[in-house]
Amino acid sequence: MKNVKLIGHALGLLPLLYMLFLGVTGLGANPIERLTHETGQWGLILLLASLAITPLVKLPTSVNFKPIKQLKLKKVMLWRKYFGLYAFCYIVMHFLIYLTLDLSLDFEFLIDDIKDRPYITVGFLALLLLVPLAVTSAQTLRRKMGRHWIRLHKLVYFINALALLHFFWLIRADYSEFWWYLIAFSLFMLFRFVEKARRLVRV
Amino acid sequence: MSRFCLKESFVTSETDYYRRRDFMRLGAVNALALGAASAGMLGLSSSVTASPASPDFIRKAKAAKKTIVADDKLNDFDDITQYNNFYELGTSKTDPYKNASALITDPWSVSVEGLCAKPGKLTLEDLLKPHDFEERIYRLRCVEAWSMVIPWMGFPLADLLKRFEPSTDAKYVAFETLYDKGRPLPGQRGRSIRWPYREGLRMDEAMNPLTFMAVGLYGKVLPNQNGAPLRLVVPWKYGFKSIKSIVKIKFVSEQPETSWNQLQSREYGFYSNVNPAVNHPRWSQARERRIGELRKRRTLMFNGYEKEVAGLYKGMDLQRYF
Repeated sequence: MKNVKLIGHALGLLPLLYMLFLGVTGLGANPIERLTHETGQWGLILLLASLAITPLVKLPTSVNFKPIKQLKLKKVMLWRKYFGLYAFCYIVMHFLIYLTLDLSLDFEFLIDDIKDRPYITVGFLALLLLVPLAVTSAQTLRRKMGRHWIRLHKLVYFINALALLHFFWLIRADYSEFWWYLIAFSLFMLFRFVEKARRLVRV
Repeated sequence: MSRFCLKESFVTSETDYYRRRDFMRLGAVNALALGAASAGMLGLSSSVTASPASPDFIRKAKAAKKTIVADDKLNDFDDITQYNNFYELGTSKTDPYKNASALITDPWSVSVEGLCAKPGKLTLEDLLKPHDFEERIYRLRCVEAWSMVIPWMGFPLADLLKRFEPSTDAKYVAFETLYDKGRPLPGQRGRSIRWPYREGLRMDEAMNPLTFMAVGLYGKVLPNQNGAPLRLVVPWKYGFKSIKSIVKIKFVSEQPETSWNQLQSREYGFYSNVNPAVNHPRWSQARERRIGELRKRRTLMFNGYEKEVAGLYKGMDLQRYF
């Protein structure tokens, strides 16, 4: 269990280490843009990664094969929370870079951007919606809230979609990278739809 | 005034060209001392991909006068050559620098077509022969809301176009970038844009004294990633209008198709004049980040060249003809 926790934290911190490495070796001609893109991209990747855990645990364990059962993959489910929280951290950094260096902390600019720029509108909404999820991530709260907790945290699917839309609306011509993110998201969602459909059929 | 040691290294002699690493190191030391882009220097090897300068080029570069200067601080050579939009060499900002060697600029020829008395195909040497070089420091404003200040070397586009004696029916001039279907450049394998890249200007815009044909940068041969061997520089328009690595010039009577306009006409107009009052549908054009600066600055009408070019658009609704 301890190892699983450790690896989970290490994975969540890797992007930060990578950015520190970039900070030392060179962020290029436009370091602020680079950092904005890196923090946003890693936030999105970790959000997607948190959606990947459930299928990656459930698919192998549904196979009746002893060596896989012995892996005790279920422990990895904890990473959903870790990845979600690390994603939140990177996205907050992403927002703060934009707020301080792009907008010079001018809140009128922020309000104008949220009103007039659809990619900012959806990005900002995604950030806002992540707040209640991050606040209620503690195990004790989860127990206290019961069914409501699950319902609340299903918001993460919607947040992921908003984050993808935020990314999509920023692209000028080259969508090649975007399609990979969309395929990943679609696969993780497809798994959930299939599961739900199977459950309904069984009932 | 210039913080770059232009005087000493203004001319590219053969030996200087092969010693360019030393030059770059000198540049890096300067930049470090001034605290600009300090981290950027460590990661990337400082080499330049450009054709060697011909004796004719060296002679003209030596004689080049500074005809237009700006109060703005120059961006350093590394920033100008390692942060580019040149989709033929890849869509990321660092791709053109990495893939620069894929662009072969020698031999090079330019085809001149359309409504003019003297069309024809010119070798680069013949094209450059009658033109003396001058140095002009221009602000470059990208449609993505960043900007740089760049010392170009070249000659006015009008001087070149007049040689072909355009007819009175020629209302526009269209340009095309290199595209060899059999041997595409790294970025031309993808279909992000319909190749070849196309751009165009209204005749009076093309003939405006500010409109420039650049063949050099910082007194040296234009590096491949900056659009070698010759590129347009139209400083009051968004950067994508300044087409790179030109192989075709055509005089036409109708407004020509231009690449970004073809891709998304709602977002990129034919004129694409820098205008802080007309936003890109997805982002604001009111402010820009000057490369090397931390905070954004206000964008100026016509990128600060209002005095020189506003007359071209007198009576036009710039919200409509964006």
